[in-house]
Amino acid sequence: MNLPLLSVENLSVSLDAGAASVPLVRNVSFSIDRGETLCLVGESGCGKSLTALAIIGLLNREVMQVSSGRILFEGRDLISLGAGEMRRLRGDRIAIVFQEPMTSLNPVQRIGRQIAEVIVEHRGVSEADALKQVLRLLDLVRIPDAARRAQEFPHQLSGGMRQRVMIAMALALQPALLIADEPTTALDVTIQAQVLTLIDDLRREFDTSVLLITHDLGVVAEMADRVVVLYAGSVAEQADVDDLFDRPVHPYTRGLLGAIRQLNSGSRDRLAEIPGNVPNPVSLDAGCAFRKRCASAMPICHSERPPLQGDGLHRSACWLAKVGEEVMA
Amino acid sequence: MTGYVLGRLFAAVPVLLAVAVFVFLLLSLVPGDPAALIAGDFASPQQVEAVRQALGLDQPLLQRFLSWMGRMLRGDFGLSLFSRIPVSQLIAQRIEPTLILSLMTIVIAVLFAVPLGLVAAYRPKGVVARVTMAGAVLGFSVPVFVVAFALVYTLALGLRWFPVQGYKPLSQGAWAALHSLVLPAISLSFLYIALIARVTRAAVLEVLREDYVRTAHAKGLANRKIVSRHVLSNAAVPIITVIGIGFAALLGGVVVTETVFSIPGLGRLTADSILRRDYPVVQALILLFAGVYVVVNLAVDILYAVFDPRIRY
Ligand SMILES: Nc1ncnc2c1ncn2[C@@H]1O[C@H](COP(=O)(O)OP(=O)(O)OP(=O)(O)O)[C@@H](O)[C@H]1O
Ligand SMILES: [Mg+2]
Repeated sequence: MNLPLLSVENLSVSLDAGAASVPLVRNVSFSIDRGETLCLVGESGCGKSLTALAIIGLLNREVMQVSSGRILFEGRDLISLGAGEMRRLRGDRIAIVFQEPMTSLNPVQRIGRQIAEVIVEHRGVSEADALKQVLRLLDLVRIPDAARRAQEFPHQLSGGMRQRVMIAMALALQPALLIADEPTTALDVTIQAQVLTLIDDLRREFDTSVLLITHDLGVVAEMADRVVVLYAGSVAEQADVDDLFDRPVHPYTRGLLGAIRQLNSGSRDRLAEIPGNVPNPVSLDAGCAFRKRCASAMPICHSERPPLQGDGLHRSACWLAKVGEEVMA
Repeated sequence: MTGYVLGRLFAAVPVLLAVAVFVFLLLSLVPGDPAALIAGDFASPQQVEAVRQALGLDQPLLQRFLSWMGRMLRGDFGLSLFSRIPVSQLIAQRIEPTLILSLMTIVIAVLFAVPLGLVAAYRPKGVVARVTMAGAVLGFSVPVFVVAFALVYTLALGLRWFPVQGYKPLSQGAWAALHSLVLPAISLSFLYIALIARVTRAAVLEVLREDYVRTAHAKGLANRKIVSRHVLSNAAVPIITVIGIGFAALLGGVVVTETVFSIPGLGRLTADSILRRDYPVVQALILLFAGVYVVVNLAVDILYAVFDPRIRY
């Protein structure tokens, strides 16, 4: 059977703000096949990290919850899975590299032990055996002088090195799904390319599926098989990477692509070229969330939210697409 | 690490020196004639003069200070004006119960406070958190003698599990000594449980928000392992600090408890000596307490470095 490894169906995440509940991720659906890379893109605050945390079950339960949807991983719904079973998956079958390499390692523990811990936990080997595997992992993520580095503490490593340690930790047990949340934003440009190449090499070697979160459409062009563009917590557009770059439908996607083209012609300002800001999730109304920044907004955009539509491979949530369809019909 | 410890040791020298100067001046600069003061109200002028010469009070201040420091360093603290026993001997007799009582109190406090603080941090809205935090307010506000009398009334007079008062020295056996100090230690421990539990809760709450705790969850670890391997070691510094300060404060400040339970310890020696104007004893005690603070601080600093490699390197 050709089931996707991960399939997220109508996922919504909401913030419990006192009595009210604010939806931060709304009805997001996508799926990832084995060995495939799916990129989740969008401006800051659009819900990328929350989507990732919901998948691996690490949402801050005190304020956040999955309010609807299913997350099918190898055929099992992670949302209804018990805490113990979810724990057995985490670190083993599903691993994550966080957005914050500088603070994601325990400052008072040697990095070798921190990586070994995940192996000991899931494979039940001795710490000494796990530490031997750690040396191989450090080689794998191209940390030179592994034996010495394993004895060091996080503060003795640069940001790039710490992110490699996080990647080594995530790959230690060859997970089926690797979630990488902006694994390179905290790093400088030369290191960024190296870390991405590393993730891609490892994906190929272990047939890992990668959910890669990024702001950067340049990265998307390099890495992605499929792309999901999020805007204010909802999917604006999703498609295969080539299709998305060749035939973007949503004005937001076009804006992003315009930004990257300017970037290629020299200006380095990423997504700032789309005028205006992402709306506050609390203030979203019945209309399209993007309309205030959209040059092609129509009357219907103010009153009704466009549904996500299109064929199975390329879908977008914009009234323009609907109008186009009706014109062609 | 050795360099770090030596550095902390050297940093302690000026502190001790400042205390020494203060203690010395305390006696030299009290208004009136120190020789007359020491000789007492009924001394004849000859006697006062004899005291003056015996203490070297007729010499210049700096010289007096230096010779006084010399004697202090050799452990010669002079004679008690009241009992005529050497001060060092007096203190040696009294230090045992106070030391054991302080240790017992702090051990009891840590055993209760750290788990309570942990649970309170993990379940901020749970029963344990509410009871602990309300109890902490009580622990701070109820005077120690009230707790002491309540315990004596129930456990000593009522159930007869423990003696009402008094101390059995170690020479009569460790068990007897500990047994005689159980009630005083429990009454003292309430305040320290309150203090340490609050600090533990605050420190753990802060660590729980850290990204590396999320990383530990991402590895699939169970809560218990996350607490023991990642949370406690990172929350240790403030907890150790408050334990250290608490211990130092106990050594010098158990006057009320020692009085209630009539334990012949340092607290009562301090109170008695001040009331009797037994200056050599008071001087020696102040120096001792300052020394205790310095040593405890040093121990705390070393523990910081044990727990946090960023300090060590
Ligand atoms: N713990 C929280 N409490 C309240 N609001 C939160 C919390 N975490 C996230 N949010 C809000 O949820 C929205 C989505 O956050 P998320 O972290 O998923 O954004 P993101 O797309 O990952 O952004 P970035 O690119 O900056 O990482 C934002 O508006 C953010 O302010
Ligand atoms: Mg994010």
